[in-house]
Formats: sequence, structure tokens, C-alpha cells
Amino acid sequence: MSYFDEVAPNAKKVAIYGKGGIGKSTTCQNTAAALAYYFKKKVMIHGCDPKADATRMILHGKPQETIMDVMREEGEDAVTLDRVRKEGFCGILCVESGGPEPGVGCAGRGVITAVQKMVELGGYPDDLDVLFFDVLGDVVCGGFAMPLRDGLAKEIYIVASGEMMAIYAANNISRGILKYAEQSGVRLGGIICNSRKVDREKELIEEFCDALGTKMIHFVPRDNIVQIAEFNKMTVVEYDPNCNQAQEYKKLAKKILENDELTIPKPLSMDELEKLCNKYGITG
Amino acid sequence: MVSLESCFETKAGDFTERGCSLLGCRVVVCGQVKNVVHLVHSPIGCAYYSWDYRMDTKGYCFTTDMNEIDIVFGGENKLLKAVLLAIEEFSPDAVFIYETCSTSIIGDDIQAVAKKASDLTGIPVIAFNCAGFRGKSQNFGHRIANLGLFNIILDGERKEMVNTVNLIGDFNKKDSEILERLFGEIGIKVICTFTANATIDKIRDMKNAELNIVMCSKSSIFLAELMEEKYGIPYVELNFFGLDNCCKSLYKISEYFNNLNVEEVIHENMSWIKMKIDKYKNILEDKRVFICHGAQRAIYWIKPFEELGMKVVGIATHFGGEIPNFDGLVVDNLSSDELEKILEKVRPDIVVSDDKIRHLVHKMSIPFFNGRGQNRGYSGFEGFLNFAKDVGETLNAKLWYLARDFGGFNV
Repeated sequence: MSYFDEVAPNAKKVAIYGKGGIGKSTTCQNTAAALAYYFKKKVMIHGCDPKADATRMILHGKPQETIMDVMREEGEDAVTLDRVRKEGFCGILCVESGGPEPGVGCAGRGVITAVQKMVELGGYPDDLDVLFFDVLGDVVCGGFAMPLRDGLAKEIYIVASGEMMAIYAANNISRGILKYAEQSGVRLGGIICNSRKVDREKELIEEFCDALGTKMIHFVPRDNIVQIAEFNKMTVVEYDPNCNQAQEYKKLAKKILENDELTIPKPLSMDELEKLCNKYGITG
Repeated sequence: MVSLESCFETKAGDFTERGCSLLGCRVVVCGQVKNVVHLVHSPIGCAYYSWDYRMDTKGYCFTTDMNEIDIVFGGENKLLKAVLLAIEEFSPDAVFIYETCSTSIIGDDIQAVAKKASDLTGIPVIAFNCAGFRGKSQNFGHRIANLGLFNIILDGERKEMVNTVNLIGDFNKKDSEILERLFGEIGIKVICTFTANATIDKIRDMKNAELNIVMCSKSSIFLAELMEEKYGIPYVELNFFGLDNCCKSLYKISEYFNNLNVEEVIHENMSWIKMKIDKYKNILEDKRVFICHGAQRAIYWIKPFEELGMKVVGIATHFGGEIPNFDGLVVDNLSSDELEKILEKVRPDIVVSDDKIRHLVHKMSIPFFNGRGQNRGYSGFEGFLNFAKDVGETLNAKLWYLARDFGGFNV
């Protein structure tokens, strides 16, 4: 039991991790949009990246004031839900933590401060069905581990692709989950393969998932429509709900909703990882 | 590259009397430098170390009051503003910036801020990377301080001055005043006492001296080594506590200089002091002393107590180090609890230490004597008389007998 169990008690609380640039925010927003649009779920996204770009497509590019910016400029009392929580496509609630400029201060501490502030404000409604935390890249320090450390997020999905570094990062994040699995009850829900059109990508990820003790929850193919929609400041689901890619996100959303195979991952050793990558000819 | 490490590691189970690097740097070494604004880059709590608990520190000390938002966004701008404000408000000779644990972890570049502020204002701004978690104890902070202040010495060319010395590692202004007078009598000028009477100008002139005299080697022999390496100035470790030590040290100095009237000065002083000391000897004879200090001061105190007819029965040190020619009890890095047990066993007539353990000893109704000489200096000839007086008065205060009668320490 954790103090965060009372936060949005009926919601599926999900954190999305993955190597930088892998498409976490795109996947997260499209999945959230699919959940809201096709399944009529009440969804919220909390972006925990100092760049504050995790809600852009849901909000149609509207600039969102971040929690940390308001705190810095006007003090702690100035942070109200009206200011920092915006409603976007299909009623999806959006919050951005914000954080320091690159190279200064402590972004990790910012994640902790912002999440605590949201809890304090009662910013995660009780009737939420799904709550997403979109976290920056890797679990590099205590701050970025915060959502999984304190039992705030219960299910972790890692976005990966068939590239070696993405798999390395996924393995590393699994080590973070393993570390806190007992303490906070956090589990790995699966790996979302965001295709880079690498050879035998699907097989590699599947084998990696087997070794890790989890599953590839969905293989999201690469499609240019994602970029086109993004250019229009929209998710694919909103831009063209009938297109193939939107249907893929619908499938992913359904799988996440129904996912009950939550596991404690068994991270690979460096040797095992390299063997795996060699097998698929990535390092050679 | 010179090693910054010294002193033994603190082990599990030690409930140590040691302080952190910030204390060693900010309070012990840098705190005494005059007309300097000390800026501790920290949350308000670390401002504990901006309290000037030493008698002779009259500097201004501030913190940047880093709050949660500052930690997240970085505190370099806040620090720069603070430095500029301090310079504008107080027109100090220099500003010293100290990093602390939190600001070090978030990677605030205090050296860059110091350089920028210095370029903007033309006033020396020196940054000390003395985060509390660095090093094994406050001893690391001493070294950081030595290294930082050495930058001031490096400024400008050396012009050797005849018959001059620096006193390094004396942090008590009263002691340094006595010694500067005494040196004047034998014909030597003290350029700077590092850091009891130090100012930025005096520190800058330190390189002009012919000889460095190191008093507390644990905290500042490093500076003497740096100066020897850079300028070829020799250094010698001397001790001016007690008559015998004082005479020996003066003779030692005369080996480095010509035509000093050391003989005369010693003769003159000894002629009056012996008589006055004898008065105290009667009441101090055979009393048993327990010393709890850094190793250096503990070594220095043995002889003066013997000269008063007293016997040192035990020594507790903070940072390790050998105690030569001593056959009593020696313990290092002990906890308050251990100290209490030892004192119960040893039952000394008087404990000499600094204020950290004062209350423990008071509660045991054992006479306590602050060896740092907070009210008057104990160095040199006149200092030794002060010492005899203060020890005598402490030991014979009626208070201790009253306290024992009321069921304090069970003697």
C-alpha cells in the first residue's frame, strides 16, 4: 500500500518510458486519444519531461503553462488547477511538469516537486479511467524513477524499436522497475515496438521480451501519416480516425485496457544483451 | 597534483565529533579573514555554518537561501546576483563563495560565477568547492581552503622582504597579537597570520616572507608546502605553547636569520615569568589532565601542563595522528558516549577541549577548560601566564564542588 493509492483510485495508472526520441510522446498521445475517442474513457496525461512536449498534439499546439514555471515565476501558491491543467481533444486532461533549461539545475527533483504539487492540489480526478505519465527517457536518477518508485504508476510500458540502443535503454528501465517492484508494486506491462523498419525488428523485440519475461504488447508500424498529423498539431486518431494507423493505436489502446499480464522483469546481463544483438546482426 | 586527502576514514559505528568540509573550509580556515563577505551557496539550514562561533570572526556571512524551485532550476543566477549585491552593499576586499551538498549535486558552477563576478566588478571572488560530502571530514575542507586562498598569494610578483615570516595555522587573534609582539621584540616582522589576523592584502603579501612558521599543521601545512614548491620559501613547524616550547622555537627561528636578539628576549621574559608561574604551581601540582583536541594541539599542550606540575593522563584526538613521547591513554575519533565512559574511568581533574564537548563534561561535574583561548591568548610568554591563571581559576572554581555535592558526577 502506498500513499499514492488514493490518487485516482479506479484508474489504470500507466507510465511510459523509453530511449530519447523513440516516440514516447507520440505513442502516449495517440493511445490516449484512442482510449478517449473509441472507448469513451476519461484520460489524463501528465508530461514529466522538462521540454514539456508531451501534450502538444492533444492541445493542438496550445502553449501550456507548466507547473514548475508557474512555481518559479509566481510562487507556490500561484499554482492552481485552472492554470496548469488544460482540457484537450475528447476531454483529455493535460498537465506538464516543466523544468530547468538544459544543463542547469536538477530536472529529476523537478519531476518529484511537480507530481507532489499535483497530488496536493487533487489534480488527478477520482473518476479517471486511465492516467498516463510520460517520463523523460531513462531512469537516470531518483527523480525520474519517482512515478514508479512511490507506487504512483502501477504499469510501465516501454517504447522500443529494433535498434540496439533502444533495447539497451529498455533493459536499463527494466532494472529500475525490478528495483522498486517489491516496494511499490510496480509492474512491467509490456514493450511497445514503435517500428523503425529495421530488419527482423519484430522477431528481435519478441525474443528480447521473452528473455525479459514480458510480451511485446503491440507492434506499431511506421506510417507517414503520424508525421502529417503531428504537423497539423493533432494525433492520428483525431486527424483521420478511419486510417490504418489510427486503427493500430486503437488496437494498442484496447490491449492496454485489457492487459492483465503484469510481470516483474528479469533484466538481461550485458553479455546476454550483446549476444542477442549479435544474433540479429545489429552490432556486426 | 597534490593530494587533498589526509586523516583517517570515519568508520561505521563512529559517532564522530568531526565536522564536514564546509565547516573546515568556511569556519576553521576562511572565517577569520577580515573585510570579506562569506557567501554560503546553500539552503538556509547550512547557514548554521555561517554563525561565527569563534570569537574573532567579525565578517559578514550570508546564504543564497536555495529553495526547492532554485534547486530544480539551478542557482547560478541567484548566486551571481547575491555576489554583486554583497559587493555593492559592503564593498568588501573580496567575496568568498562556498558550495554545499545540494548545490554541488545539481552541478552549479560556482567557479564560473566567481570568475564572472570578478570580471564584472574587479574585486577578487574566490569559490571553494567544499561540499559537505567531499573528503573524509572537515580536514578536506581545510585543504580546499588552503588551495583557494593560495590563489590570492599567486596574484603579483614576489619581492622578498628581509627578516619577515608568516605564521600559518594560527586561528586565534589573541594568540597572534601576542606572537606578533614577541617577534617584534626579537626583530622579526610578521607579514600575515594565516588566518587569525589575515586580510586579503596581507595574504597577497605572504609570498614576500623569508620563512613560514606552521603552527597547526593538520589544517594548513598544505599551504606552506604549496608556497615552498612555488616560491622556495622554507617552512618550519613550531609551537609557542609553554615556556620550554617557546624558547626552543625562538632559538629555531634564529637559525634562519642573522642578528636576532633572541637571547636577550628570552632572558628578560624568563626572569619575571618564573616567579609568577610558581604561584599557580602550588594549586596545580599533580593534577591530572585529559586533553580532547585535534592531534596537533594535543601534542602542543602536553609540555605546558607538565611545566605547571600537572600530568596529562589521556588524549583524545579527532583526526588521527601520532602522539610522540607519550605513554598515557590515546584514542582517536571517539563518540560522546565513549568519551563519557573513558572520563568515568580515568577521572581526570580537568578536561581541556573545545566547546563541542563542553556540556558533557559539565554534566559530569568535571572542571572544563576551553583550550582555544577564547578570551585571551595562550601563546608565548605572557600567554603562558594567562594559561596558568585560567587553568588555575577553572580548576579551583567552587562550582565544581557544589555540583558534585548535588549529585553530579559521582566522585
